Amino acid sequence: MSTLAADRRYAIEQSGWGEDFRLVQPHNLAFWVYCVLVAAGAHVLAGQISIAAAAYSGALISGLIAFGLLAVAYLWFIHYEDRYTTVPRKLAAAGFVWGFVGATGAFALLGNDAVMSLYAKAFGASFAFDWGAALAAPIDEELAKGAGILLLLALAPKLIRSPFDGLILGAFVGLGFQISEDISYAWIGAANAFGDVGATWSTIVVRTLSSIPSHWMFTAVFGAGLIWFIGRPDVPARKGLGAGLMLTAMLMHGLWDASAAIAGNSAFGWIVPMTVAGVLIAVFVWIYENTAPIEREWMRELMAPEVERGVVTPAELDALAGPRTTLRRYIRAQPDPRTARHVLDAESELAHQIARDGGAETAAVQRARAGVGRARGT
Amino acid sequence: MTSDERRFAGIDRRTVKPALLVLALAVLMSVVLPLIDSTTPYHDQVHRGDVAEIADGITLVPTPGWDLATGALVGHTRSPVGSTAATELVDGSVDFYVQAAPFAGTPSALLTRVNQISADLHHARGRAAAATHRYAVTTRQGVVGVADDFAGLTRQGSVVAFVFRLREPSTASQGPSREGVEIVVSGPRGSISRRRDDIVTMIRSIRAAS
Repeated sequence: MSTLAADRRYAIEQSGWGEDFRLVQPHNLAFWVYCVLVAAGAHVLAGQISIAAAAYSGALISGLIAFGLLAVAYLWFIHYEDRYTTVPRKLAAAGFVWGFVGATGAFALLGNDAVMSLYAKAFGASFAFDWGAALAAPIDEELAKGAGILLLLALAPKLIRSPFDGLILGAFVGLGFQISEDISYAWIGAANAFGDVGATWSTIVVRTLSSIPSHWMFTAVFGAGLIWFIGRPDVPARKGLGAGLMLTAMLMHGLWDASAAIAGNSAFGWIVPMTVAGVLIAVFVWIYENTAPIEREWMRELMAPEVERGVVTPAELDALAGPRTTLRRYIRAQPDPRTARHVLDAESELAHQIARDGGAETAAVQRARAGVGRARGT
Repeated sequence: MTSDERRFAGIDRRTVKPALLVLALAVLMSVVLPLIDSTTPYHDQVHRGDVAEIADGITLVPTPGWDLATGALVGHTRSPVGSTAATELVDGSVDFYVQAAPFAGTPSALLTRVNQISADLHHARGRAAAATHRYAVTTRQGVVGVADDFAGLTRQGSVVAFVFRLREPSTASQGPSREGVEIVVSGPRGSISRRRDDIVTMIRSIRAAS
């Protein structure tokens, strides 16, 4: 076996790229716990939805439609950012369902209410009014969502191989939680305003405008931190960094929830949420920039034999395995950018097929290789 | 180590620790904490001179000795109270719940809407509560609201609706903004009767800033 072929095998092995995700694993206790908690969460949420459907159906439907569309937009964006050894759809779906049903219904709904009520009982209602949400939600909710990443890690240890995977999977879990919470807030907004659907639309606008520094991003940061904390075969554990990132997610979440109390009647009430948004985005980008290189390296090792074969050019490999700026620069520099994009898409599909077939020379790989030729118009 | 050696009762031992950790966290949050909460009494008794802000520009004077379960006392919180807010006072088994939100109609329309929502919810839960005829309720500030009483299997109480005109217009074209206030008092029959004077005094104390 040549060095390049050996590197390819190593990259496939280390990255878990091409591995299929199976949720049903009867010998894995994480599977049973996942099922029990999603079922428990669904039972709790069903109770809530029956209330909403009975008395606030207009608000519920508005929330489902508006936040359903928002979910589609964010799912596309997260998938777009996961451009190297992509998280399999079934794993992403299991993460989203955990966030949407398990983390909300089996953890946060009951836990938050109890903790906020205990704050009111211990320190007074006024204290809870100001700080209750900020001191309850970041702990309950980040742990609830992080618990899902831990379960999925036990279910798919070969697929979650780097903090980048933690970042992307965390984003899917957090998005599920966020959309579930958004839909709840939509009808609760109407419930608090004597059933007025206009209040629901105010909630929809506010939650949509503030959807960037929200759960999908908190959990992405938490997820990357969790993977760093635990470590993976190719990524040694960095306990301090991992714990720091998980605490950062909680702290940013807490500051966001406490922004009204921190600002008080000040005219500068926007400073805290804007600062949280800025810090959170900066941390997210920092993690992305510092975790993507291992994914890029895996892509480069996987596709290097194709350069040797003359299927992929060195410049195309740089674009495929480089950051998005390199990709854009490469496409713009081509005489026919549209064809260049088609070629890169076909090469990306070839990479996935090679990974799916474990680096073997199969008929499917040959068809994908022929697809690259067709995309070039040769 | 073979896969059989790694298993206990058919379960891969390596998966036991993370799975049990998550299960324990779920039990803590959804069983243990709610249980602790349900057995912990309120300690936040209202004192003479305390005033609750039930919405931006609307206040209520709670009866001393009742506990503030949810809401804000004037001068005790940093967060501004918005136009949509909830306040809850409890005394033993009696619950005094106030919900405020913008509402453009009359008190009678507000009570009709609140009762309709309540009927929808009761229908969904398979419960029933009979409502009595309506009667007028007037605050010390002179604002007239409307109320009716209800009686369920274990609890009885009253629903009162007011619509306050606030000082600052929401927009020039709409004129003064209107704030609806719904009060739901509920509890066991005897307990409600014993606290009747407290309840009436609190309802009559609601006022809009002038």
